Amino acid sequence: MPAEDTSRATKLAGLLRSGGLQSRLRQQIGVVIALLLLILVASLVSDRFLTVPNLLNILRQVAIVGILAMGQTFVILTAGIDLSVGAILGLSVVLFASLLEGHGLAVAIPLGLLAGTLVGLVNGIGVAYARIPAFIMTLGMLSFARGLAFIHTGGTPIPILNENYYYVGNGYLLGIPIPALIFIATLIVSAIVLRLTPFGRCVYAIGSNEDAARLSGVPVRRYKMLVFVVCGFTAALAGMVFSSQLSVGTPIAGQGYELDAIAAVVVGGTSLFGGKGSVFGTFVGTLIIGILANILNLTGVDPFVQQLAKGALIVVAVYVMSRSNRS
Amino acid sequence: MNDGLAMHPLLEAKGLRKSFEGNTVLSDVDLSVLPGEVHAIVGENGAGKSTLIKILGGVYQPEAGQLLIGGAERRLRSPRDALAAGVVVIHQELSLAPDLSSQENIFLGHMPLNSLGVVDQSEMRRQSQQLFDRLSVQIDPSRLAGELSVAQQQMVEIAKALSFDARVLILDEPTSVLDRDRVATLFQVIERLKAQGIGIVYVSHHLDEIFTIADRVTVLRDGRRTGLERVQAVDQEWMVSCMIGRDFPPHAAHTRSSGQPALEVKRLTVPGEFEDVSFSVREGEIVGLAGLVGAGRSEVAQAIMGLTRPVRGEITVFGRPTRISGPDAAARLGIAYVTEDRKAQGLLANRPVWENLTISNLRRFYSFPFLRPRAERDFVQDMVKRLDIRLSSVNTEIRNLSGGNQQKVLIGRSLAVEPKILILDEPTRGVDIGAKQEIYAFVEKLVSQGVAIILISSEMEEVLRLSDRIVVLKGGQVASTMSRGEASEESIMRAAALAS
Amino acid sequence: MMRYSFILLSALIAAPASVALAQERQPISNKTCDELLAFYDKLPFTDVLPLDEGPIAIGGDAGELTIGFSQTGFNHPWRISMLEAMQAEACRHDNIELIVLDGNVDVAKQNNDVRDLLARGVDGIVMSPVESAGLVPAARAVMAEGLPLVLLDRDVPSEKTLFIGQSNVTMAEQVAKRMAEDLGGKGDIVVITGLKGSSPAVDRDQGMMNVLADYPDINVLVKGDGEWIREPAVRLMEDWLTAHPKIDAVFSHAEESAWGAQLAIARANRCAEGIRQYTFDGSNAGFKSVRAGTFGADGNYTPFIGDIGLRAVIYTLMGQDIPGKAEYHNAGYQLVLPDSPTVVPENAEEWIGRGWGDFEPTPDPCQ
Repeated sequence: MPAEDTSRATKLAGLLRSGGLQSRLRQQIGVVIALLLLILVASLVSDRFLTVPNLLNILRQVAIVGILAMGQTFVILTAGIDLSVGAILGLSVVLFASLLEGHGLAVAIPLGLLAGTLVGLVNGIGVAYARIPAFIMTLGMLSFARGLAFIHTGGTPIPILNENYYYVGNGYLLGIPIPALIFIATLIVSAIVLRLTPFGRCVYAIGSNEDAARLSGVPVRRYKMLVFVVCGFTAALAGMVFSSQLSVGTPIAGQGYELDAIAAVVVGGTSLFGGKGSVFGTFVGTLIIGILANILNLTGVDPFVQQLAKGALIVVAVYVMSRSNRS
Repeated sequence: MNDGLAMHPLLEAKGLRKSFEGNTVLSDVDLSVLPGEVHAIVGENGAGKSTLIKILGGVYQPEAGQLLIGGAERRLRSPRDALAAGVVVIHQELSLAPDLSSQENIFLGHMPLNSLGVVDQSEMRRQSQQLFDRLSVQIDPSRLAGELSVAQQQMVEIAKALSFDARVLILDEPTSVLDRDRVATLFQVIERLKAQGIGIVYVSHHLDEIFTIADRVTVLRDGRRTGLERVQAVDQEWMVSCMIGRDFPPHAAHTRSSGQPALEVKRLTVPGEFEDVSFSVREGEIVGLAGLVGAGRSEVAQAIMGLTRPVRGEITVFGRPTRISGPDAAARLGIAYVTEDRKAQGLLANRPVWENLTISNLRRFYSFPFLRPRAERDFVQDMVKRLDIRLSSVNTEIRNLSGGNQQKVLIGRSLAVEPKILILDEPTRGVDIGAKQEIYAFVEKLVSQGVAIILISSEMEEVLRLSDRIVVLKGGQVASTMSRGEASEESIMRAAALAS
Repeated sequence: MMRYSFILLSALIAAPASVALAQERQPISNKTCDELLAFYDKLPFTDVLPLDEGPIAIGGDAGELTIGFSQTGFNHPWRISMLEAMQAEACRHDNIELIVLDGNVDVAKQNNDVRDLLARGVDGIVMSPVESAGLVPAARAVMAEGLPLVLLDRDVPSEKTLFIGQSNVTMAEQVAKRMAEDLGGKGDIVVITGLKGSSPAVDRDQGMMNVLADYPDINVLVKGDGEWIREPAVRLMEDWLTAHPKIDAVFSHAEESAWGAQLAIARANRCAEGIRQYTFDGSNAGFKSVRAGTFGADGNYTPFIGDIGLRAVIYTLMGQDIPGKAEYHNAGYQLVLPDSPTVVPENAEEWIGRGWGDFEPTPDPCQ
């Protein structure tokens, strides 16, 4: 009997040790293979693709949508959706621009980020406490925040003349574009939060089965609110990269980006029904979409055909992933 | 209708068998329905009544046996086939479209058209009125179904059935949604349908109703027919004994030594669900909550967990009156609940087993700023061992586990809060025999460690085997409280099913 | 997994392949070189920076030259006409390859497009920016590579090889002046702007206000955003017709919006009031509407400057001086194009055929 107990215990320990990383990798292997394959094809099609400047270029290009998609992943993991991220980006962009004019970086950056976070908070309160469906709440916010951006600027773009700020969007640190670094930092922080904090764990639980999570004592409403706060913050962060990269606070910034961000999340393997997915997947999804756009540009494919290719990629990727998940 | 025809059953089932995943739920069941007859079907929860109804309604296909309708063998591959054959089921939950008028509901799917191919409103209204006249009920066919009372909606459903030329009408627990005085109206309508030669299958928990309305009664137990008699020839004793069928050996008297009162509920009331429910449970004691489906047992548990707000009454935990705001607060008081509805309220279906185990008390595995994977792992390992959960890896998504192992994980989850009071709601529903015994043994072990347990179960055997005391609920009220010695399957059935 | 890979692979290959099949026809415009060359002779500015047909030799070397064109977006025929003029010029020189990218009217997308062109190693870039300020970093990147950068239509406030544009301000002044004269110096007008915040809309409004400053009796009742297109203009005009019993003229920033306003006027049964329309764009259809009397004036804002842009890049690559270039308020140089006269009933006939687009105007519902 004791012998049996020990053998079972070692078997159990083995089970626990072996599983974690491996099964996580297995979930994401599909999307990673797709990325590697895309890189392979891209480097065959264009000899310009696999060059350091171009790869850094891609990282900088995808940073804005990528950062948006990080926050969007939190929301989608709870089976919600945030349609207002593009508009929050637009609002924060004009706020950064106008705040920079009078106050400088030290004031503009925190206040701009705070503004986006507050908009996210309003979304969160609406969804979690007033129980407005996320689709409706954020659709309304999309229009509302965009309207604020237009009112704030009177419709005219605000030029940004601050050279330090320009450096945030266009400079390099250790040879890597700063927007790419911000993107990767967002990824790492998001991954840690989702993987290692009670909040992150509960995000998955809520998305998997909200009723079960509530019955397990998860503060469902608070966390459902919080994912929108996170999403608002990342939208503002993306707005910071946008405005510094382009040196302008334009109220139309980020129009339609919500869909790009959702596409990146979905291509990255996160389920729109919640509870399944990861920010790493979203990172890879962002890269896949970005690399596809880059290689189509490099090979000079008709721009109209490019849109077609992007649409096909999204649908095909999600179809294949849903198939492989079932089997 | 001539006498010769009246001799032939409208519907005849012979030797029906059906099983799910190896569990036989119906075997060798016969049933016949004569014109103008009300044929009652009774049986405990899980006796196979609903499976039988679903076969008759074309939802399930039997593995063996045959169905004869109007004397000819028919295969019902879908509810549509059943409709075409004149067999209509009216379910417990009414299924009218609330935003359509009564007449549109009646003719949904087969509306009369005029020569232009457009719905002929006046014809539809005329025919609806005719159907209501046949039932002698007063309903305006143009009123929206959503504006009608439940009783009226039921009449619309019956009229809808008649519009399909129903020969056999199957009523599944028709009185469960009705007030007492509406029941009389329903019975009048049934009498009228009988007079029109329609055969009625009447499924009910309420034995007293059977004696009022039925001509014959079929009793099911564990998927078999254990009795068929003319109602006039039998009494309630006979029915109850057919339903229970076996005599349980009196359980060995427990030598449990219960401690101080853990949870006391006094005159707890949630309007529309239950009223003035009082009971208490001590440390190291199991109190069974018995009763029929819909008697309010789970609702009481949800009120204790703070999921619904009682308007009246008091909950006392270890001598201190408390207001419980939700599962989180309950957990802090040491109360845990294992849901009856595993799929909808229990499983984080697409998350790994280990996350399912620890989600109820992440605080325990947390030290700022991160969760402690090692602590989680130790707990998970401990639970897998203690509950003997069988799996290939704790990283498996819980939906891939068998029902029994899923249930063990949910019990393990409730233990993460180290409960002093544990509410188990149908802890062995959909669980195979082996796992059932293991769960029983585990529950008994918990009790012996001093946990107070409230056991909600529709399985008599389970309640009788485990409980120290049994509270029987009926229609949202405590019908009876009995000690282990007083309780028997028969006494519980009486209290739960018979009119007081 | 394997299937996933195959589908992705085939999607990737299919896209470029479909382009190869359509090699005969130019992207976006979908025209062949023969068609484009026939059209070349009708372009208004072929005498600006003239260039002979045939391969371009740079320092005696007539190797392949790749020129990138980053367009704001191809959501409007005006933008496609600009491209056609450029494609026509490219067709005249065998060794010029044109790479065309669509900015989707998104600053960030166009910024990325320009960097992709650089990564691809083009020899020069023509860009028509989505927005002035937002493309500064992209422009800087091109200049940092030492490549010629020619900007069309909209300027960027940073260093560049050449900016070629027409002034929306002076053009709007011409149109507004004509309106003021037609109104006899007094009346009530409504303004349907282009997309709010976009620089041509800002400039056209500025030009109008410059003129109206001299006409205190012309009263602007209201301004609204027509987004350059028809549908919002219809709604705006309908509401304004309800709100204002007397409107003497509509000053709209785009022909599409003007036609939309006319539809609203007819729908409101107010044709008889003779509400006058003043607008911009310079399409053949617009000129026909001027001839028909629907429009009182049409600002002649031609898109046929694409060919000049390409020639300017080639001139720079060949080391030739660009005649007529001049320093101006922004960094770099500007090429001032001769002003196109505003098209009014008196000259409409002679301009029809020299505008852009080969579609017919919306029939005037008031006539």
